[in-house]
This record gives sequence, C-alpha cells and structure tokens, in this order.
Amino acid sequence: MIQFFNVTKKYENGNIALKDVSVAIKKGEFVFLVGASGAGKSTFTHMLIREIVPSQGQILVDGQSIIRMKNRHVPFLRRKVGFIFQDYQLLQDRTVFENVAFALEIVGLSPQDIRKKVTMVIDLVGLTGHEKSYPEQLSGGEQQRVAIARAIVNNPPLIVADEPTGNLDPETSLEIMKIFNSINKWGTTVLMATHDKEMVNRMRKRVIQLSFGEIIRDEEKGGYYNAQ
Amino acid sequence: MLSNYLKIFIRDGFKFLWRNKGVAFASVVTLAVALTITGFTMVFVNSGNQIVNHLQEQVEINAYVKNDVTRVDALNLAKEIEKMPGFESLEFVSKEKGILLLQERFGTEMDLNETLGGDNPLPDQYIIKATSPDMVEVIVTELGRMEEIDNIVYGKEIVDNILSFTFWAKNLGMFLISGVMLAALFLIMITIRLTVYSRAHEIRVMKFIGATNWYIIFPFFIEGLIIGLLGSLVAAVIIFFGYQNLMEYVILNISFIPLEYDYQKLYYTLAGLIAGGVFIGAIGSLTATRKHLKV
Repeated sequence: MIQFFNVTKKYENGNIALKDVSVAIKKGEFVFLVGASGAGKSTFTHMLIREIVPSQGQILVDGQSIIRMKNRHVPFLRRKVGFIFQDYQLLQDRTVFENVAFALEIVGLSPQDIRKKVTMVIDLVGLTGHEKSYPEQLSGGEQQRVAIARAIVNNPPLIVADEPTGNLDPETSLEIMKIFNSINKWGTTVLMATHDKEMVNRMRKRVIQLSFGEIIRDEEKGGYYNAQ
Repeated sequence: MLSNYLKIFIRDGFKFLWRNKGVAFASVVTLAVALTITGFTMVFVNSGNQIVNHLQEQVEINAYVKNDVTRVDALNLAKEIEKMPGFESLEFVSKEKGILLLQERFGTEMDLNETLGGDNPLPDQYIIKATSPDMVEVIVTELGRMEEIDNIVYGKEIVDNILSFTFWAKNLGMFLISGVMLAALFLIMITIRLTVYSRAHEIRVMKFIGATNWYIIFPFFIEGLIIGLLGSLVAAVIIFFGYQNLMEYVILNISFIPLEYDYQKLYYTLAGLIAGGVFIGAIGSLTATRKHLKV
C-alpha cells in the first residue's frame, strides 16, 4: 500500500527531515510511526497526501507514484487517503453532518446516497444525535470522531493519522483507538504517527521508529520503549 | 453525477452566502459605495462636458463687410467662407436687417430711423460659427485676408478661456474618473481578498479532503458574481435617482447652467457600472481564491 524508496526530504532552511528512508507497508496492516518531536513523523505522513514532496527518492501509494503525479491528479490521491489531523481540521461553519458529507459531495454522490452513508458513519463513531451540532459545540474527542468519520466515509483503502490522540485525555484516546482498530479489522490500512506510549504498548502492532530522519527500528508487534 | 454537483452548488451557494452574511453584506456595501462614487464622477464629468459643448456652440465670429462692397459681391463672399477649414455655419445679416435687430433691442422708446436721420450706418455682416473653438483663430486669419472684410469681431478672450477650460474639464474629468475607478477597484479587490482570506482555512481543508480546484473555486466565483451584481445594482439605483433629483434641482434653480437630461448616456453609464461590478466581483474572487489553492 505504501512504499518508500530511498526517500530524502531536505527543507529550504537546510533541515533534513528524512534521510534515505526505505520502507514498505502492506495492505491491511496497522502501523505505528513513533519517534521524538522533529524525528520526521509529520514529514513522512504529509508526503502521503503530497502536501510535501520529497527531495529525492520515490514514494508509491496504492501503486501510484507521488513524484510523477500531475497536480490535477492530487485530489484523487487524497480521496484514497483518509487523513486525520491532530487539530481535526473541521470546517467551522458546517455542522457535523455537513463536515462528513463534504467528503462525499466532492465525489459527486447523490444526496440520497450521501445521507445514507453519512448517517451510518456518524453512528459508527458514536456521534448519533450530534448531526446538527457545529464543531465548536463539541469536545475535542467528539471533534476527532467527526474527523475520523469524514476520513472513512469515502471508504479509502488507507487511513493516515497524524497524532490523532495528541490533544485528548487517555480515556478518550482509548475510545478513538478502538475505532481505528475496527476500521483496520475491515481491511483498511492504518498508519498512525503518535507519541502515545501507552497506546502503542497496549496495542502491540507493527512499530516503525524514526530518529533524526532515519528509521532506527521496524518491529512487528513492537512497543514504544524509549523512543527518543 | 454532474446534476449532483449542480444541486450541491446551488444549495451551497445560497447557504454559505447566508451563513457568511456579515462579510457578504460588508462586501456588497463596499462595492456599492465604490461604484456609486465612480458612477457619480462619470455623470458629473459627462454633465461638465455637456456644458463645455454648449459653450463651444456659443462662439461666433462677426465679420463686417466694407461699405463700398456691393450687395451681390457681399453675398458672394459666402461661397469662399464656406470653403474655410473649420467652417460650420454662417448667417448673412444685411444692414437693413441689422438695423431692425438693433431697433428691436432699443424697443419702442426710441425710433432709430428718426434719430439717425434716415441714414443706416451699419455694414452688412456675416455671423460665422466654427466647428470647434480651436478653429476660430484659423477662420479669423482667413477672413483677415479678404479685401471685402472690414472688421472682424469675436470674443478672443472668451475663445481662449473656453479652450483652456475645455482642456482642463476634459483632462481633469479623465483624471478624476480613472483615479476614482482605480481607487474603487483597489477597494473592491482588497475586500474580496479579505473575504476569501477569512475562508483560507476552509479552502485548505477542502484541498486536503480531495476537492478539485474547480470544485472549490466555483462556489466562490458564484458568490463573487452575486455580490458584484447586488453591489452594482444598489449603486445603479442610487445614481439613477440621484441623477434625476440633482438635474431637477439644477434645472429649476440654476437656470443659467445649460444642462439637459441625457438618459441615454446615463443608461450606458449604469450598464457599464453593473457589468463592471459583476466582472470585478467574479474575477476578483476567482483570482483571490486561486492564491490559496496551492496546498
């Protein structure tokens, strides 16, 4: 699903965020991307929606090259990658329903189909009854659920989450993590960049650890350990 | 699929215009104010030109024929005068008609015929009009070369004043219009840019979710179009009624200003204003939105 071939990212200010990274993540995997702040996690994840383009190397997402991709094809890549941000990135002037529906409207689905799917997904993330609320009326955990609903409503083969529980309390984090686990069980690939030591240790999934832009550990059913 | 998009655009266009009604209202007002000022400037400059044109029509050259020239020769002069560059029209006033006109001016209190002892000291006279004030001098020079002409009288100072006034009126008018237009354009562009900027986050999120550029731009384009239309319509209505009231006031109270209603020009101005408003609104929001699309 995701393939990195000798990927290096050097920013204009000289910072090297990723150094010669090569890694492959198969369809249906659940992978934690761990590492200290500045280790290159965000660069890694944001490259998957081509918000950041590598300086060298090649990235394939679902068999498609990010490097050779034309600008007008980027939206279609992004529809295949459900991206979840630490700060949710919801549209503040839209209700919960409208925020989730938006991901389907851009694909051109009929209003009837949209209603059906959105209602189902909102139920799945446990937000039934909040359809007409606006993001500011919700708690952090609830907003993150909306973001997840929006990311999965389109049935993308890949879910990428950048610190999805970074702003949440442990209990809420656990709830959110359960949702991700269910999504993964239906066959969706999940890649999650996180600092959440407890969660990583509890879930026992594949762990890729970055340090100063390099992969220093790639372990099946790994833990967080002292990811520096 | 296309009809699904269309349904969504129409629904969203109105929905989000309504939700952002504060900003939208501010944009409409800004646009209306800017276009009203532009429109009034255009109307004023146009009226100024009307006055100038009227003044230009007033300039006449009086050419007096020598007394020893026969009537036939005097009348023949007309053919030569008509050939002069810048000639527009002429009127021959014979000495007999001249004295009658003079008598009219004096009224019945004095009998000119009696006072002058039956003599008519007036010469035959041509009243000539030039196509424009700057041709007056040319005609005067030509007339000066004619032996049969004794004396030429024209308001040299008036002509000079009109010429410089026309120059100033036309140039100042152009300057004013372009200045006001530029300021209006600037103001509108800034307003639109701010409006779009206030939704830059929204555009960014839309991009991350996988919206295509045209999907994002289209609603903004429609919104800009509607705002442009509303703003310019408001301006057009204000200018229309403002023009009527001002003209009525001027014509009734300052009768020496030679102004006439010129509805055709007014309609052209208003049509141009509305087209301009819609164009600026739509194109402005298009370019402003494009800036935020590079994510």
